[in-house]
Amino acid sequence: MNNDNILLTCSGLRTYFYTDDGVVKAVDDVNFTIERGKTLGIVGESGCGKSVTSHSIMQLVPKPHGKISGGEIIYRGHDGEEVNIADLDPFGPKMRQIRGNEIAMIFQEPMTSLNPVYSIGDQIIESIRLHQKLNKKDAKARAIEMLKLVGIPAAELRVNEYPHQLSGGMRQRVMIAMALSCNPKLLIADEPTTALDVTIEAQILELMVDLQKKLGMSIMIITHDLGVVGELADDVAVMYAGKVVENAAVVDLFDRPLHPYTQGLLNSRPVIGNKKRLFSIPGNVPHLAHLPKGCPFAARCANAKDICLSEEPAVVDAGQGHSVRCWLHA
Amino acid sequence: MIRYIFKRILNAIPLLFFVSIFGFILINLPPGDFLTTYLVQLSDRGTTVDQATIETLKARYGLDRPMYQQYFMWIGNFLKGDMGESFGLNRPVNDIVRDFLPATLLVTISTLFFTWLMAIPIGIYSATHQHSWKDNLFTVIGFLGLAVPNFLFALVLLVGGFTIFGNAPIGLFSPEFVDAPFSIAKLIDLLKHLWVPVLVIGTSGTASLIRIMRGNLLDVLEQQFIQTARSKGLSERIVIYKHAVRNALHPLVMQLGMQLPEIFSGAAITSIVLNLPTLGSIYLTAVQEQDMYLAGSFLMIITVLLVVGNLIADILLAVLDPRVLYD
Repeated sequence: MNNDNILLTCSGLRTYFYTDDGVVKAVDDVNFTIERGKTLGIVGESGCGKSVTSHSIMQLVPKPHGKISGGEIIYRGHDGEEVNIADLDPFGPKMRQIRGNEIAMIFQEPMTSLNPVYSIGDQIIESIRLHQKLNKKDAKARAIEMLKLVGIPAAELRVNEYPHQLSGGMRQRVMIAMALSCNPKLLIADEPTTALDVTIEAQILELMVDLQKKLGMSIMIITHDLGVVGELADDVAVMYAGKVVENAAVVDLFDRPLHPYTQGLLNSRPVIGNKKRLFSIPGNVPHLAHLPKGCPFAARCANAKDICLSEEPAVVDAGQGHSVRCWLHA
Repeated sequence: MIRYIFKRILNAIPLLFFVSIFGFILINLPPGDFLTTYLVQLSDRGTTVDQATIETLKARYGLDRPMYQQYFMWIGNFLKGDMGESFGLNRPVNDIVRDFLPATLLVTISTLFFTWLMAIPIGIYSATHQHSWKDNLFTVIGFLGLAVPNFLFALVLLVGGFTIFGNAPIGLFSPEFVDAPFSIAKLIDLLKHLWVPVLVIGTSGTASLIRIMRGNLLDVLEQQFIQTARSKGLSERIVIYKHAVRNALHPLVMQLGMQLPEIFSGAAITSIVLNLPTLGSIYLTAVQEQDMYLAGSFLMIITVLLVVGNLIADILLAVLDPRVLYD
């Protein structure tokens, strides 16, 4: 793989929360790369560290308990210069220059993601004026252009409206417009369609694919929905209990799921026309402050061997850029 | 918006009418009237009054007429701008209000500014530095301010002022300035005295506003749109002051409506202790002595303040939050 094509590399990333209950290893030795113009899907159940991973990249891990405790997040910006985001001061000028400008983010809850007391135009303009030295008039023109781009009708009028005057789907479009207003190289979408109904979900996903073609940014999409990954992603990282357990190109993953957890996820999808009871993975995600010895998935795994309960598996290369963290493939 | 304000003013008219009736009844509810209290005081001093004098006095004050007639006499004159005569002070209520209103408004408005200017920054600091030693210190001071009664606080300041500076900061002016015409020296003298009542009356209000501001801001800082603002690359200062604080001000503004009359009348005991020329202490005496016209008129003034305060609060709220619509 050509190095120039890589936008962001996460290696050995560890983000821990230091709580009264002990150290919660929300993200523990996570590795992945995001290529320019491509989409990485991060999949997993609730509480597996997906969102914390994205917050780590933005340096928005909640203070004072959360902290990036190790590893690197190497970002190659506009001029090919390498920055290790993990080393930057979260509130320093360098990080703030990356945040919103080079890496932008949209969130799960479009209903609460926008500030209720400012018009959507003001909120987009704020972002544009912060990073691009435009005057008010040009920034507003740019905001309207962005609203048109994300398919908001009557953008010239809508720009002056407040979030409460828009539907959930419209608000998520506004969030996307705001995130993309400074031409970021990476868009992080943290479960962007979870709170929306299915028809709107399809529209938003289509919009993201469309915008990626037009603007060429990379997307990191976080979801628990393999259907979303199948539609959007080029590569997939499956996370479980703070670790990436399987990493592969999307087609390869659907064809050849290696980790029992991935297999379980794929089997849990409903298939139209199939009236049999839906499969579910037995058990729950272990508490991240009290992880069991060995493989964290062993307790829920039908094929667990003795070694799975005593020793942590290492990452195994399965060829074609496909890797898995499992004793069954060692 | 203008239609809304107009509607609110129209709505206030029946409210004021009911308050005047209830107020009148309440003040007259204790047995006897001003004259009975007055006669008891006289006989305590050993003076006896013959029946004829009593009847003359009754007729003069209109106390010989039925209650409803007394009410209409009072409210009729009130609407014409004549608030009647104070029995106790033997002066027209209009004169009393004219003499005492400026000082009252001065103390009230200064206190209001004091509470807001102290509470908002301290609340913001406490919320953004939650559980730091300064936050804890403000919490302790705040609870002290809430717990210590005003009259005690006033006495402590007086004693402290007397032992440290050699004179107690009583009243609003030093004796030589009380009747002097306005001058810069008089203004400076006023400021030297004003801080005491403002501090005494304002401390508990400030303390509760700090708690409200702190709690609200902490809630707002947890909201998703704050994360959005940070994810845009905004500095923490802008995230807090532009995005969070404006969303945390609602309950404070709502408080504003209640605060005006509260400070206005709540200062009564403080003004007795500090010998302030404000209406609060006069009101207290008037109610005790059943000085009907003075007490009733004062009640009406407080009600008007309440209505105006709430209207201002509602208008401010609409300015602050586009979701608030009035129609």
